[in-house]
Amino acid sequence: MVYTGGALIEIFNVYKIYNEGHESEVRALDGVSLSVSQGEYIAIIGASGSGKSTLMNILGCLDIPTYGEYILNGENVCHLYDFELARVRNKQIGFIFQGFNLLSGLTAIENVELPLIYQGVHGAKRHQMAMDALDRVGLFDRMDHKPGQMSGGQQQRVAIARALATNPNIILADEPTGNLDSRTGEHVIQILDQLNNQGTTIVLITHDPSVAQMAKRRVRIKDGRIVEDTGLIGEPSPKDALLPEEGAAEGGGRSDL
Amino acid sequence: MKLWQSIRMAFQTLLSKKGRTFLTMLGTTIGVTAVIALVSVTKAQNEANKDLWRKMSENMVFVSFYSYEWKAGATPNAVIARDLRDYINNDLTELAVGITTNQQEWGSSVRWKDMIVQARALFYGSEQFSDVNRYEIKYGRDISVVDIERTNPVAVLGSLMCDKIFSFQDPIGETIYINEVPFTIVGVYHQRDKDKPEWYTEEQWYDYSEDNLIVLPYTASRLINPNVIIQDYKIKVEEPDAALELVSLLNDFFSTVITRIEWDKIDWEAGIYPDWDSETGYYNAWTNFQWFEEMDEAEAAQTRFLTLIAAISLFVGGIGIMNIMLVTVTERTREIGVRKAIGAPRRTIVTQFLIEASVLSGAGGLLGVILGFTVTLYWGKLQYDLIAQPDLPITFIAFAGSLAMGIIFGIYPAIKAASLQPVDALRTE
Ligand SMILES: Nc1ncnc2c1ncn2[C@@H]1O[C@H](COP(=O)(O)OP(=O)(O)OP(=O)(O)O)[C@@H](O)[C@H]1O
Ligand SMILES: [Mg+2]
Repeated sequence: MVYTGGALIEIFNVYKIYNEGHESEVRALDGVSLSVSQGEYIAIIGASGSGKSTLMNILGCLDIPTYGEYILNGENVCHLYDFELARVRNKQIGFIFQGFNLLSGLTAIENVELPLIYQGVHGAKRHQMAMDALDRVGLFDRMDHKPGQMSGGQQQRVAIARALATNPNIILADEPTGNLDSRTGEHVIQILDQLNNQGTTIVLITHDPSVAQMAKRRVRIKDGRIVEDTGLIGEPSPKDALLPEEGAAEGGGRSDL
Repeated sequence: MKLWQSIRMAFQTLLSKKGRTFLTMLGTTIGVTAVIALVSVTKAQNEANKDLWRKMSENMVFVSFYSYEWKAGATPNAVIARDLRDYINNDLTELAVGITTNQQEWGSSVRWKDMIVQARALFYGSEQFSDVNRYEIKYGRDISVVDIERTNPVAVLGSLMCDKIFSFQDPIGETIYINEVPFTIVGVYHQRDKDKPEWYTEEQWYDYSEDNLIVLPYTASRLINPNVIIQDYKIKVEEPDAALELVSLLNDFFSTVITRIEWDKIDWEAGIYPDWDSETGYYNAWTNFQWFEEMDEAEAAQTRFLTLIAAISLFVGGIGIMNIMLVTVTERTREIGVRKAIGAPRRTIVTQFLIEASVLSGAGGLLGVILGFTVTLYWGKLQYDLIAQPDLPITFIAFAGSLAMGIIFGIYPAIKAASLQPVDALRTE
């Protein structure tokens, strides 16, 4: 197989098939190829159940494709051991989830320190890095609060701080504004925007057309296949023309999960 | 991740569920408490028994011999007795305090004028009788070598015996009659036994007090009863530890002269007796310290049994821990997913849950140690009125056992947690 080279993320012909060969077979990803360069800002859109989260999980090395190859930063990650995958997730990728997924027993700063702990950063340095990250999301004064003592928007910002504390190449966000009202959501998107301006690659799943609009490139998935990609070479992507119609469709599909 | 950090984290997690943590710990705590208290108190009790035994033994070694002196080649009793006395008094001065005959008659009647009293014991003693038996002369003089050699009809009284007969009169020089044989009183011993306890009547106390005695030179036995054969001897050693040594020296001493009775080969129930066809006669030399070995063995068996019970209760505690850890893993599937997503390798997750399990059991064990010490001290005091020292080796074993239990029973839940796929873990609610 020939790799195009240069791209940060490259997946080739990736399938994720559940219950393969059975009657209940589900092709969550059905032959997806995608190439993402350093510094891109991609929104993945599509109806509910179309396979967005599945794709995201594979990109984040949380899941392994049934078939296909995945080259991350020049390294084929499909055949790595568990501890190597853990290292890749820890160093290269920051996750932001719809449900925040903070550890409720830990304070904000402790949550942010967690990936640094797994990276083996110690003592004052780790504390400093975590404080910096919290500072970047504007939550310096809340660092000793536990998740239960914070609003949803603040929690999501802590989650962002946790994702960026290790200075990852890529931030993967699965509906980061899904549980937030539109104003807090905007704040979160602003932070992601800033991060992208500073060079971080961002892959974002969203149902919100206005959020998708912020992205420089949009990938639409339907039934496990990429049906549109505004970033593909040679394909003119009038992004404003594309969105209104799709945005309406997304809004309709949103309610079933 | 540093170990102490994981431990701190485990403590935090456990503290966030205090009730459950406490109940889970309880199994281990009870096991450890039980083993420490039971073993320590048992040991203390056995130690106390031995002390009492030691005290009662008063560093004594007993010798009995009976020579078939009518047979050709057998050494006469008197010769053996003399040689034994010389051996003890000349060669073993470092080891032995003294030797006396240990022949006695219980409840002998003693008459003075028209008054008759019962001596609790009448001893035929040697000049070292008082040294061996811890009596001291208060008035007059003790039995002497000359008394023994000349078969002098003299007697020394114990303090109670003396009080009974001579309330207000100087006893020295008075004549008393035993079996109508006259003896002159030459001395009186100091009180050796305790004062009469309240719960005894005077009459009863005469039957118990060791001060109600009369001592005659052992050769004088033939004045009272020509058929008495002196065959029992008592040797006092300086140190309890010397008793066993003396027994083995005595065995050497007798080995060329007379045959040893092999008590250990006798099985009364099975009717197995040693051969009684010695040409020389028999002797036996023994000390109460010989039973210590058997006491130690019994104690070891007891300890093994208690430890087994403790191991079972620790095992049950361990199952409780495994159970609760499995629940914890299920409850915290999402947390595990998050940790894996942000880069925790499998090893770290395993370690985290193992540490949690062992902190659980270790804390239970520690509480058990504290409780075990407390119970040991109080129980020992209340039940036996003795200061029971908590036994350190068993404490260590019990604590280490509880920790090990946590680790062993934590392995399965920990591996289960670590084997969760991050996607699956994150998808669960
Ligand atoms: N473990 C699984 N077993 C079987 N089918 C699965 C499993 N996980 C996901 N799927 C299916 O795969 C398809 C894609 O799921 P995915 O979560 O990627 O959808 P999505 O695009 O993220 O939807 P949403 O917008 O609602 O989050 C769905 O049809 C889902 O039912
Ligand atoms: Mg999804």
